Amino acid sequence: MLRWRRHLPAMLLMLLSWTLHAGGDDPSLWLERMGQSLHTHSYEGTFIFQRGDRIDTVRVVHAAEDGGYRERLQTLTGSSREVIRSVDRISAIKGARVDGGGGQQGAPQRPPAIAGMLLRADEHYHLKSPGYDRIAGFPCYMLHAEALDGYRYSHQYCLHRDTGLPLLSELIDADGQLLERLVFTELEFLDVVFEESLKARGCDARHIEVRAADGGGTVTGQDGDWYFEGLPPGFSTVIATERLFGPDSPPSLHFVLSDGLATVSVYVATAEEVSEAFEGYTRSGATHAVARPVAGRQVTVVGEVPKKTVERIAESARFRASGAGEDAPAR
Amino acid sequence: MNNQVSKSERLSALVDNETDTFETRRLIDELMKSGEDRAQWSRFHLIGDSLRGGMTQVAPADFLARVQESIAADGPLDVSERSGQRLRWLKPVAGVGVAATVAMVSLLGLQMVTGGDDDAPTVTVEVAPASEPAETEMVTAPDPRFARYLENHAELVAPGSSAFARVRNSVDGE
Repeated sequence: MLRWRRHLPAMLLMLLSWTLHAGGDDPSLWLERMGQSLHTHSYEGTFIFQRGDRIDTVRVVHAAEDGGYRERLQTLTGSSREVIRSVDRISAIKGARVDGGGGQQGAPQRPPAIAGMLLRADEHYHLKSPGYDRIAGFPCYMLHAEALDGYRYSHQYCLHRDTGLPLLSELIDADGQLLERLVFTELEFLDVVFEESLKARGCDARHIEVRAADGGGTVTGQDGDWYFEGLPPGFSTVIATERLFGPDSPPSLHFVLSDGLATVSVYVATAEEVSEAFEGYTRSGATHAVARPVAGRQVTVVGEVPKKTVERIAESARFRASGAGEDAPAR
Repeated sequence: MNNQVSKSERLSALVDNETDTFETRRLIDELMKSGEDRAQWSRFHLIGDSLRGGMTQVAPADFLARVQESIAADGPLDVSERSGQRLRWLKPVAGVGVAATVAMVSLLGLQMVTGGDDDAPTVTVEVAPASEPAETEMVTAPDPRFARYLENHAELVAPGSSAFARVRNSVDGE
């Protein structure tokens, strides 16, 4: 015990040093740093985005500010495209707040122990690092999150050594086939981002404003609760909110499910009359989507996960009418 | 007649991603109500794909004939007006798992595949301004309602690491 105390200062120093050096070589800490990097660092650069056999080159200016970020993206190859995107992270966080347990009356059930679930993401991915590499002239930490079952894809990253920013990001299916790859070819970190550089250059730029807290963090089903039973292993509800797709549209419930890395959205159209429910499946790159009627509502599941995962999530959607003791059938 | 022309132009604009958010929503709602509109919407995609020139590399033997039929069915329309310009995609839908930092969907478009399994897609609609050949075997447009969900997912739940970050912070905020 005495010996332990004697070494305490040295251990604290080591801990501090380890923290300062980007979390040492612990892959799960690097994952966390990666997540934070987008909101804490500003940069300008060029990256290549590969999806299947298609390759695009994109210029990006990214300004982290007020807990959120703004960015301007412009294609350098093919037809000219420009997107100005702003993400209000503060409201995103507000909207994402999760009940500690129980939930409020009428709100969908949400798991009480989200934190534990997220920290155990490595139950469903094997996290490992082959070491350091170099991308766009920067040393980066290689992080492989290998999927342990068929319900998710494997992720490979190379994270900027000093900031955790993903300089390389890849999504790989169970057969080892590359689904998507984003890799920076040139990057400069910025202390100041001039407003001018975030302005659209062309008149046809697309503006995207992400306000994640449309529902203010409260979700109230019109006449009952939606919840999930029998989700794919590792997946859990992390965000539940209400979303309007337009001024005239009826609100949809929006659930975000995650296994710690992969993200899946579940939309439940709450319109009283689903005039023309649709059922089907579509895919765009690594994003799969399935739509089907459940308990008389339109349920649409979208995520960067395999087809069978979105299907199983759709099958797990349950509706419990207010005052009903029994769950409505899934379909 | 005026209305018809107007509807065609509006649908064409939708296919070309030249409608604003409100108009896009309105057109999608209209598409939901009219099978005729949906059929025309599909044909516009078909025309766009054919103009990009990639489809013949993988399309079935009778595909060109079907393209010509579709074009004929729609008359000269406004495709020729933009002959010097590559047609754009329907609606920037996106979503791509890897793009931790960006809304790649909105920027680069979407290739929706409908039906079949992952290994053997049977129906593909290319709605991106792609230069690569579409892997189309036959054309049936995916239900347009998918587009807005894909787009919303991509915009609100930034894929990959940022989603992880949001999740983390929602927990931290407790």
